[in-house]
Amino acid sequence: MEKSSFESTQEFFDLWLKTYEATTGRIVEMPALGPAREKSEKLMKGFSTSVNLYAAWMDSTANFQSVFLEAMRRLREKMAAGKEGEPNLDNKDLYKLGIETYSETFKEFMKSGHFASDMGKLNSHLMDFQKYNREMLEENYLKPMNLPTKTEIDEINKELYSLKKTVKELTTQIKTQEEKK
Amino acid sequence: MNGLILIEDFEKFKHGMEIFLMPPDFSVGTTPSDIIYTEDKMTLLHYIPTVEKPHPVPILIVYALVNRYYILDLQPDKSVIKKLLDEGFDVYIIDWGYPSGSDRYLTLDDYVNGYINNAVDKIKERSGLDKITLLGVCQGGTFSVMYAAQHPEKVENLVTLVAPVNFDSDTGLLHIWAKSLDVDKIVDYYGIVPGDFLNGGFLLTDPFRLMIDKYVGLFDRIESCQDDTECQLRNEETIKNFLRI
Repeated sequence: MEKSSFESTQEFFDLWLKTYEATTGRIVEMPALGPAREKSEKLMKGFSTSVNLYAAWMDSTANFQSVFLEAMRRLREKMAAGKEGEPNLDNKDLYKLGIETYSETFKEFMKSGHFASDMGKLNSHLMDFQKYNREMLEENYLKPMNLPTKTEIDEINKELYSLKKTVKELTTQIKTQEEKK
Repeated sequence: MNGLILIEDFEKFKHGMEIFLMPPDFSVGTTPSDIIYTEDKMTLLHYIPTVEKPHPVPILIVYALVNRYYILDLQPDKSVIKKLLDEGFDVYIIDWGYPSGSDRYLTLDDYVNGYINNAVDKIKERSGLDKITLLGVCQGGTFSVMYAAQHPEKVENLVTLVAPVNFDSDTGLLHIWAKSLDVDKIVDYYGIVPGDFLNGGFLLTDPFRLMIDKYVGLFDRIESCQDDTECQLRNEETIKNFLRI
C-alpha cells in the first residue's frame, strides 16, 4: 500500500504520546502518599488506562484513514482507466466499482498482521478501561449504597454452576446404580 | 440516461420504504416440532416426520451457540429441515437458548460430554438404536467432531457443515485476528461475550459489502410497480426474506 498523508497524523500522535509519557505520565505513575494512598493510586491508574486506550484508538483511526485514502486513490485510478476504455459509466457501475475497490482494499489491510496486532492492542486496552470503570463503579457507588455488584453476582453464579454440576453427577450415579439393580 | 436510472432507483427505494412502513408478517422456524428434552437452557426438539416410515437412523443437528437453531428452517419453501423430513429422515435439533450470567462458567466438557451426550442418549432411548447421525453446523460442527471423537460408539455418521476444525491456519481473517486477540481478557471482562461484540467482528471481515452493499442490494431487488398486485406481492416477499435473515 502506498504512503498517505495521514502518516503525519500518526507521527504527530506518537510525538504527543512520548511527550505525555515524559511529563504528565510520570506524575500520574508517581507513588501516592498520605492517608488516602490506596484510593489515590487506584484513581491515578485510571489516567494511564485511559491514555493507553486513547493511544491505541488513535493508532487504529490513523490506520483506517490511510486505508480509506488508499481505496479512494485506487478508485480514482480505476475510474480514469474506465473513462478511456468505456466512457459511459452509469451510477450503478460507479457504485459497483466503488464497493469492489473499497472492499478489496480493506480486506487487504485487514489480512495484514499490522491490523491484527493493532486490533488486538485496541481490544486489550478497551477491556482494561472497561474493567477499571466497573471496579470504580462497584467500589465508589454500589458498595457504599449496599447494592449487589457484578463481582458478587459472578461469585453466586459460580457457586450455582458448581451445585448444578454436583446434582447432575449425583443424579447420573443414582441412575446407573438403579440400572445395575 | 443516468437521470432515468436515478428516478427508477428512487422509485424502488420509495416502494421498499412503503413496505417497511407497514412491515409484512413473517415467521421463521415454522416446521412443526415437539420438545422432548430440556436441560438448563438447552432444549431438544423433534421435528414431526412427514413420511410414514422414516429412515431408521435419526439425525441430530447441533447448531452454534452464537446463532439461532432455526437458521436451517428460515423459509417454509426453502428449509433444510423440511427437505430432510421430506427425504424421509427423522430429525432432531438442539436449541441452545439465550445464555445469561449463570452460563459463564460452562466449559466445553459441559457442552460436549454433558448437553450433547444427554441429547444423544435421549434420542437413542426413543429410537431404540445404539448409534445416531450427527449433523454439526458451524461451531456445532466443531462440537460434533469432539463428540464423535469421544463417543464413537454412539455415532453412526458424522456430517459437518462450515465447521472450523483446524485453528492453526491463516486462511481466514478470523484465524489471523484471533491470534492477536487477548481472548482471556475479553472473556474475563464480559463473562458471556455479547452477540454485538462478535457481530462487530464478523461485519469487519467485509465491512463494505456487509454494512452497505447488503442493504443497497435489498432495495435494488425491489421492483418498480404501480397498481400491480403481483409485483407488490413479489416485493413483499423480497422484504420478508430479507427480514428473516
